[in-house]
Amino acid sequence: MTDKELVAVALPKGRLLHDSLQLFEGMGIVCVREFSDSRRLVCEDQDRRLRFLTLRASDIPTYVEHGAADMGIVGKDQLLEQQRDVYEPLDLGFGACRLVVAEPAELRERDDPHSWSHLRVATKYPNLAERFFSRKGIQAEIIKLTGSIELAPLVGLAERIVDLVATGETLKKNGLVEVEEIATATARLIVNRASLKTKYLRIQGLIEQIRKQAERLEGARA
Amino acid sequence: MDERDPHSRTAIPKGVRVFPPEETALRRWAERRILSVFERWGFREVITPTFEYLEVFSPDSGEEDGEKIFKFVDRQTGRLLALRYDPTPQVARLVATSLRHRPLPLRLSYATSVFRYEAPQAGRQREFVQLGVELIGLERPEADAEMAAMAVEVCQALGLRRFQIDVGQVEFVRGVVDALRVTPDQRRQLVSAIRRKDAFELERLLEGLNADQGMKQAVLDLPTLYGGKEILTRAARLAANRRSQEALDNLTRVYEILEHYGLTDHVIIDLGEARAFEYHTGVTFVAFAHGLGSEISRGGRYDNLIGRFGYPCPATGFAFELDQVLLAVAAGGSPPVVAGPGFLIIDFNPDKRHALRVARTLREQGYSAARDIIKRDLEGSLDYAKASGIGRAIVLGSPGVSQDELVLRDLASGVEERVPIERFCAEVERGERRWPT
Repeated sequence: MTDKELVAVALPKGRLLHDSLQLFEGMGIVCVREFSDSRRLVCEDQDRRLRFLTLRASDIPTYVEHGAADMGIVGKDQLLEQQRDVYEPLDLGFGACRLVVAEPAELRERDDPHSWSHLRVATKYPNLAERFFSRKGIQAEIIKLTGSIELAPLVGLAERIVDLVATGETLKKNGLVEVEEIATATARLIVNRASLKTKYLRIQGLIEQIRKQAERLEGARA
Repeated sequence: MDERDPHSRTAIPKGVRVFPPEETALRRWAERRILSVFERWGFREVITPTFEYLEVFSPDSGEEDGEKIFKFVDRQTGRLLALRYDPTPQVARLVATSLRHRPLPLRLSYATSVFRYEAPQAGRQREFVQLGVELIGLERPEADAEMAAMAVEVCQALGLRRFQIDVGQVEFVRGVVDALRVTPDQRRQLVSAIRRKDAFELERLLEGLNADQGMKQAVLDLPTLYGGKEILTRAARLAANRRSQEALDNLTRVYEILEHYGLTDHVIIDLGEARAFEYHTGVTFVAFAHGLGSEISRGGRYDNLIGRFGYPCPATGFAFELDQVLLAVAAGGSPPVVAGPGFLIIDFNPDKRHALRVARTLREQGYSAARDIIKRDLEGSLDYAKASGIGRAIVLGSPGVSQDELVLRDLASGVEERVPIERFCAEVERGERRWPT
């Protein structure tokens, strides 16, 4: 009975999808290929009793916390922002990014981050930004946006931004420079607490398989 | 609020709920199931106040949980009051005061509302019901095992087939972490990573620490220390200090007793479980039901809590959360059929004595019988009965039926029976006519 249970895995659309699909394809789970070139949201591997869902990255912690998916892949940036009650047993190693504070290059020339006391910051990560600045005793006015954060300083919506940076290319194109790093973020495997306990043999086995495959992929990249 | 805005009167604050009759019936059913297990194990119910001085719940202000306590000011003394945040300290205080001279062990239970200021959208209510027990005066592992065994029996009494009791030992985790001699801030970070089973973060945190490699390895292993009995053997190699060793011995004994109970199929050990209340001091457990993302029950040993109220005394206990229980019952696919009222008596006679007699007879035999007091035609009365979930209608004085007769109509099937009132009442009284309730 325990071997036959369906396990639902949530995969994030967007920047982590390619590597996530590669991870499961490498484990011989071919059904996930259906995701790469179609508008499919669900696929199933009947033999292994696995169901995959593709979701907005920011929704994945919600699905997993409530048990609508047993496990999921999501960037650490989302976990830091949402602070959900889920297990995070694996760092999958891919999708490495940094969360940084950035500002226009000309502001940077005369700015001293040590003397910050009040800031206006645009970001997709209001909680994370709030925590970061309040820990430093800085009063931050947070403006929550859902995209094109880099635009905010150009149009005067906020002087600074907190955003995810992979190569720094987008910052540069918009005349922004990094001032401070808040955290680094890679893709994580997260697991629902009840699933880990009620399907533990199955989940434990899957975590172990995923861990091995993630290590193999990382080895191949290095 | 603007008096002209009707919404200001009908709005409900975040985190509280209203339950219509059907849902209320289900909740009462679940409560009775749970409380009857408590009773059968010899626990006696107590009632605690809805609010207390804040200190009862929050001994050291600045606790993380302190933010979730509903607080207000006592006008007379100016002291801070708090809505019931957790019944366990209240029961502990009761034991340390009024019940102090009673022989131990004490077996106490409660069923009550709890108030916590949960963040909006967390999917949690701010007022919710807990049903729990406290077993006071026993430090033996048998007492902890009794708690786990009772939790299993409660799950079974609720008709849940797939559930797991997750057993941990907070002292094991604390022993392993405190062996590292870290600062309070580092400790908080470590415990947070252990709670999330985040091995990567643990590795990062431990890298900079100047500590014995074996001790570090023990912490690194915590996230994977869950499973069956084999975990106890694995953990034995990691428990380098006495505190962890004793905790592990204790948990092993509890597990052995659960083996005697024949319950280990329902039990999983998690030595990395660090989600206890600050007052827990030993074996802790959490019950998970299949199909539900979070726990339905939690509990554990708290040997120092009653001492805070001046009466050092070991204790253990657990509580079920009613909202979670109902979700689990619904997910388990076997919610009971909760019947509406049994009978609606529709009476067209000007002389009401017959109707009153029929109603009284049914009520005396334990059936629920409501009378349709509004004047309307038969059709209207029957529609009302059906819409209200009433099972049967008894019609007196309808055209063509004699004064001494009634018509009994099953509303689901539409089947009708004509019976003399006298005979009907006699048969109900003698139990010859019976209906499921």
